[in-house]
Amino acid sequence: MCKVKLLSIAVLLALLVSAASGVALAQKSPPQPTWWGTVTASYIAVAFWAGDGPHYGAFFSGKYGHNQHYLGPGGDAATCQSSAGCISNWNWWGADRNVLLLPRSWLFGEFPWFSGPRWQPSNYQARVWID
Amino acid sequence: MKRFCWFALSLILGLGLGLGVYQARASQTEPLARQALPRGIFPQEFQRTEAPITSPEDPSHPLNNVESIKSPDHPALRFSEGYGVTVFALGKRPFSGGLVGHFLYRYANEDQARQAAEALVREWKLEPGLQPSPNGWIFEGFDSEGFPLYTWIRIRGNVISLLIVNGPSTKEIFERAVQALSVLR
Repeated sequence: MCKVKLLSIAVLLALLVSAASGVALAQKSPPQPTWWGTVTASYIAVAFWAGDGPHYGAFFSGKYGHNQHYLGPGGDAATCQSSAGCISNWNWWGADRNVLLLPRSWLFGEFPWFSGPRWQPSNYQARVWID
Repeated sequence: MKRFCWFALSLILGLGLGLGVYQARASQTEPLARQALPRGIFPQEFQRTEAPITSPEDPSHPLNNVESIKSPDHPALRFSEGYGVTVFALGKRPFSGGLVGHFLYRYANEDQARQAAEALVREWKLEPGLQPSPNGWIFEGFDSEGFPLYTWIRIRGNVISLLIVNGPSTKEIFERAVQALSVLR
């Protein structure tokens, strides 16, 4: 009977110690950021290939992109000449919706291609969920 | 003299045949990366990416079942391995440039590669602008926004080589890529 009591106390103590160490560990690890943030795109590349050729996009780190803006010359208003209308109407793509699709008419509408302001990822800004 | 001529002719024919067989066999097993679009063929290159293709579920290459080929049992999706290169390129002529994508897909045998290529032509509805080229076809058309879209589908043994060039002014870029790929063994 005494042995059973001692064993129960030992098990209880072990559980308490492990729980306490878990709490201590949790307190030591850095907090994980989970918030809505305003960021600029990381890079511009082919988002996906379809039967009608490549579709281009600005890739953001984060998820569920929205409230997108163009920070280059002319701002958002400059984008309204694209075939998809102003930037606020451009589509998000991908399972995480973190790729802002860029109309070809916008990307190729101004020289120099591939190095001009429309090709700079830092000129595309959006709100994304960072986790 | 006549006998010598026959001998020389036989030798040339034999060597030619041997070389053809060797090349055909080599392309069955040659690493795809070695058949890919080489570097430095365009006056200016931006953002060149090069990577193996592992799955038809990856939309970053043309033979994908996410955005490009919707039928899950399409013959073009049955590749065993692939390799892709994409690069934004500018030409020498003023206002000449576009995106160049070169993709290689290996199939079980030459018949399957040919079936896949033919099915692809039908899937992408390329017939109207299609021109025959050695071991394949060239398609000159336009994308959904009216920009030039060049596609060169070529069958090399059990490998499909797919060159796609898209952009505002792509003729020079396409010609440079075709020339570079044509001289690859």
